[in-house]
Amino acid sequence: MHYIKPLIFISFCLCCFQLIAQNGFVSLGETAFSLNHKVSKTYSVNFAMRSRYFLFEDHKPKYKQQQVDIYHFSTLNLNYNHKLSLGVYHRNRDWFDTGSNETRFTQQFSYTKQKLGVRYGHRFRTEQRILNTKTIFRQRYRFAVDFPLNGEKLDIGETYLVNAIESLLSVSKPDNPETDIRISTQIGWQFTEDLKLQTGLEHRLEAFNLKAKHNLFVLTTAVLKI
Amino acid sequence: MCVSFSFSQSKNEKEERIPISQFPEVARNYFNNFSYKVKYLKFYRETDGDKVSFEAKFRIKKLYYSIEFDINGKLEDIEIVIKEKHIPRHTHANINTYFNAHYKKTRFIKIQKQYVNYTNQSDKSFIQHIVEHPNDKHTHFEIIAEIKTDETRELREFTFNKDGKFESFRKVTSSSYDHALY
Repeated sequence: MHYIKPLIFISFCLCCFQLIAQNGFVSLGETAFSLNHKVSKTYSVNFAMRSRYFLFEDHKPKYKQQQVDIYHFSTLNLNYNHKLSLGVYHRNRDWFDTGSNETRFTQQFSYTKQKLGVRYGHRFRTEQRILNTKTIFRQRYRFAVDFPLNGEKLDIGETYLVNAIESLLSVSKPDNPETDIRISTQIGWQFTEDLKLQTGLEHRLEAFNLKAKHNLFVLTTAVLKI
Repeated sequence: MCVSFSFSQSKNEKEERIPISQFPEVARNYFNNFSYKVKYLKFYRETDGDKVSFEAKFRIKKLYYSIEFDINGKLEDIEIVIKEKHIPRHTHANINTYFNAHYKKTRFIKIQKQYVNYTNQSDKSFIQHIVEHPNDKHTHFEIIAEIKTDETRELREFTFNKDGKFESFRKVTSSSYDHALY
């Protein structure tokens, strides 16, 4: 029983490496730094910066910056396990000549349920992605499961796993609707009361209803509570 | 009293899974002779400041048990997770009266029936008896609830006696709750 959780993680990683070997496969890295602040019992804010870069493209490893993002989320805790959030997001691709900049507005509702140390989270999002030439309306739903790797409670210095699956539907005027699926697994460390690091892999199956693309993201995140 | 499942009290509280060899010796063989099959038997050590206690958790016949011992292996209490509808009606009414009188709003997060060994049975036979007769006389109810007053909103762990009379509460912080990024 002790080995079940790490096994799941390792087999997921192996599946992802299997994919790398396939043709047309693109791998990108995403590194984020996130600041969270609790304004009151019911209101909290989040500011984050994120950088995305190519790691593997055209059958060879490479490093090329794709974009930088900054975003902000305002969250209203409706109660202990229901939250409403509004987000505003800016993506810059101009600087790197990789495409259109984007401004995005996000509305989010999330619900979590905890059972014996395992937390189940449901997240619903609607987004308006404003690009230079079009506006994309996107609906997302994510189901996530997270749990500490030792015991049922995450203590300082301990490790946890977060696994998620998300489906996305994008609609915009000139294009056909696009559906995506993202599966991720991440491992995290609660270093201190206020700092945690998280890293893992996300497989994105993009536009699988049109012409499927596989992207593998290597994610790293630092989260600081102030 | 134990608060399990992802609630932490303070920075110097730690809960960790341990092998049975690190469990108090006297209590190690308490869980192997029930007439029903024990599932998911796990052992934990909890440190809260200077206090160390031990906990065994398992499932039998769809009921989740957590049994807490002190450092010498003496039984502190047995707890079984129940649903709100399983609280007897008159007890539930008493508990509700308490919450309505003291708080603007209450939401139950976790409810447990608690059994403390006030009998002259040995700990081992008391545990055996409760596991075989889980509907037998419990001594307390432990409820983790989110409460709201004019000033605050927080999680508290309440203890009621078997008739639903309020006995005590303590604050529970839920810091470990935001470990994933939502």
